[in-house]
Amino acid sequence: MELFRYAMSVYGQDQLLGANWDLIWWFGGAAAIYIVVDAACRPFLGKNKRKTLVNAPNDGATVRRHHLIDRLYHWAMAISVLTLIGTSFAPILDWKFEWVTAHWIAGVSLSLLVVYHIIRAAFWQDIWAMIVTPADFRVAFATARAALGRPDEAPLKPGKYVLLQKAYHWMIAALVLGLMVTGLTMWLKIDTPFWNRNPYILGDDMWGLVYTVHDFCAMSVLALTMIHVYFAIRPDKWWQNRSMFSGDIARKDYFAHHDVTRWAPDDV
Amino acid sequence: MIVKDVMPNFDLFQPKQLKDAFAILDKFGKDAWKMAGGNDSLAWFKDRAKRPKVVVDISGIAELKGVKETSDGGIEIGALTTLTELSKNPIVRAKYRVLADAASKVASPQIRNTGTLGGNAAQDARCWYYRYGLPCYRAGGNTCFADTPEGVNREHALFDTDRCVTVNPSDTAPALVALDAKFVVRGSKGERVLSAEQFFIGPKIDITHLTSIKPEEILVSIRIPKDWAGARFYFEKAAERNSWDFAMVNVAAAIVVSNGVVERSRIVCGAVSATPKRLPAVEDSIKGKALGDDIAKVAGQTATRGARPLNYNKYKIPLMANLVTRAVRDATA
Ligand SMILES: Cc1cc2nc3c(=O)[nH]c(=O)nc-3n(C[C@H](O)[C@H](O)[C@H](O)COP(=O)(O)OP(=O)(O)OC[C@H]3O[C@@H](n4cnc5c(N)ncnc54)[C@H](O)[C@@H]3O)c2cc1C
Ligand code: HEM
Ligand code: HEM
Ligand code: HEM
Repeated sequence: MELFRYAMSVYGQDQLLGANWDLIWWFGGAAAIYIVVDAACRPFLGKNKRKTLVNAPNDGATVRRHHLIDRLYHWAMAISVLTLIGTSFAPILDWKFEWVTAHWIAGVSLSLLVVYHIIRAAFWQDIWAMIVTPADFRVAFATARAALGRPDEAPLKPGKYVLLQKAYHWMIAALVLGLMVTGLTMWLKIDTPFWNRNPYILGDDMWGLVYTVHDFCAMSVLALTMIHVYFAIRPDKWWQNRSMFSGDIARKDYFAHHDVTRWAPDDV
Repeated sequence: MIVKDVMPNFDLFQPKQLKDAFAILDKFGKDAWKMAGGNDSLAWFKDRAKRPKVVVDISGIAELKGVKETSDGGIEIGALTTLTELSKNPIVRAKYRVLADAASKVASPQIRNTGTLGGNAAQDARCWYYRYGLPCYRAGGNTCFADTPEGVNREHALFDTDRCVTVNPSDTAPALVALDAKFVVRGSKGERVLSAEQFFIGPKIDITHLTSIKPEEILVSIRIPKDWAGARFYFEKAAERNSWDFAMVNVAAAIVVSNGVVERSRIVCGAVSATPKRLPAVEDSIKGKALGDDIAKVAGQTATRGARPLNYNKYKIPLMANLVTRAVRDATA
């Protein structure tokens, strides 16, 4: 399987152009297989749920998980990313339409949103909520053991996010930052209402590299987004995921599923 | 360096029937190259800028040849009809002269004798960076060599560019659009009848093709409706040389005049964008008016509105304006 696209350069040599687009099927396929396997195993793994200590009454009280501003950020970011995926991959897969303008507008929007998010996360949110710590691995181990039928005596509970969520966040963050850096550079190479294209800011080889990085990050984001949306709509996680819509989780779920020493929302 | 002496090897298929051609195209997909008269194709192969694994020579498919009248009063022209046949065909000359005129202005007699209408309408871009085999956007690469401060872009586009600035070089294409032609493309999975807007596509939609014919499809014929039969017509091509040369700009017009005023018209310029450029603003500007010098002049000025010239093709603006002026002024029945 060829990983890259090449062309013959002015000098008659191979010149790197980008990723081989057949790989889209491999990235998409791998994500699809992951989803199918996970969905098929769930019913069996779920049988031996860890015992949970529920020390809050089921009284309808709630705990704020995502503030409105963070939900708005998530959804605006998600719309940008889905637009970027749609506008770039659909034409490659032969569904032709005018894609470039919509793509760069979504790309610039995403970039602004992410800059905003990083500033907010650094100064106004709890940065430790997303940082991976040894405790996350202990929780992940305990959860895996429990799923395989060996529930612990005293269950370990995670902070605000479990290891997989953190891993997903940082992978997506790295990929999106990669797409931003390469995408904004590519933006300078096309005509926009603000400037005329300048292809000379980089040499041919460097451009090849920029496109290749953009292409591979794009296909990875496609795969991760498929998996993320699957996890987001799984019914057994709805108690938590509804919070990206309403902002809240039930107070009883907070106590049942989270380590109160590691995640203390404002309203608890 | 790029070798330009002999063609690289390919497997040659010469089907005699459409269904056999479709079977070959289905089997080889994007690896197959369709060839009719070969005037565009063979140059690509000799320059080694395109290296198809398989060439499907469709020139032996009899059902794709000839001009016939259709039951609704129009005509249907087989894609393999040669440009010489077209320019001499009595029905085309009598009813749709603009197409015969355009066909007779293509290249040289030898090329017109073998070049087909289908191949002329489906021909590829002539941007010489692209023809030279450079890895530009149109060749699947990441850049345009013509749209740069130093790029030689005299032949390039004034309108509707998007990363690529090439033009559609065909002489028959603007005439076909002026006649509101429909393009019949067929594959093993069925037939599509496309309007000019659907058939010719610019880089915004697909930066690597000038038409929407799919790899597994063949343009089988072009239908001309009766609507414009016997209208006033005009075709003119401005090229640097009088012997074979591509248009710097060409214009095709079909104008229906009744009671001394313009009832409807279709005015189209070629070689100014990646698709034949229909000029609705010009058509609106002459509608309901009596044709004359003043109206023609306004039409010419209207035509170039919105043009965005490159470094070396600014001359195309007055050229295009003058051609449109002449088309409106001098169109004759
Ligand atoms: C020296 C020279 C000067 C020229 N000057 C002019 C000019 O002044 N004006 C002008 O308009 N053209 C000009 N041309 C271009 C020439 O007219 C066209 O190349 C010719 O008409 C193409 O017809 P063909 O049958 O030879 O095409 P081919 O070379 O066989 O095919 C051309 C392209 O169309 C595709 N194609 C052909 N037939 C079909 C079909 N039925 N279905 C799907 N795809 C098809 C082929 O795959 C190929 O990509 C010139 C060419 C040369 C070499
Ligand atoms: C999830 C995010 C993104 C995805 C999935 C994505 C995907 C893609 C893909 C697949 C291409 C085609 C590349 C090629 O032809 O090799 C592309 C091109 C492009 N992208 Fe992105 N992209 C993303 C983010 C961005 C961002 C943030 C920008 C910044 C403005 C951007 C700007 C561009 C530009 C300008 C092009 C066109 C370049 C050209 O045709 O020369 N992209 N993108
Ligand atoms: C280096 C850059 C980044 C840092 C430091 C960072 C930090 C954080 C932190 C600390 C949180 C947890 C907030 C909380 O729940 O209290 C978070 C959440 C989140 N991050 Fe990031 N992030 C970065 C990049 C990104 C990128 C590039 C994306 C987009 C693809 C992203 C998307 C999200 C989303 C959707 C959430 C959940 C909603 C929220 O709470 O805001 N992050 N991030
Ligand atoms: C229809 C699409 C989407 C849905 C339904 C969805 C849903 C969700 C939900 C429910 C959460 C909250 C999880 C929690 O509270 O723990 C979340 C978080 C997050 N989302 Fe999305 N999302 C979507 C699209 C996207 C896209 C396109 C991206 C970026 C590529 C993204 C990035 C994130 C990140 C980084 C987080 C924080 C980490 C995490 O909780 O896993 N989301 N999403």
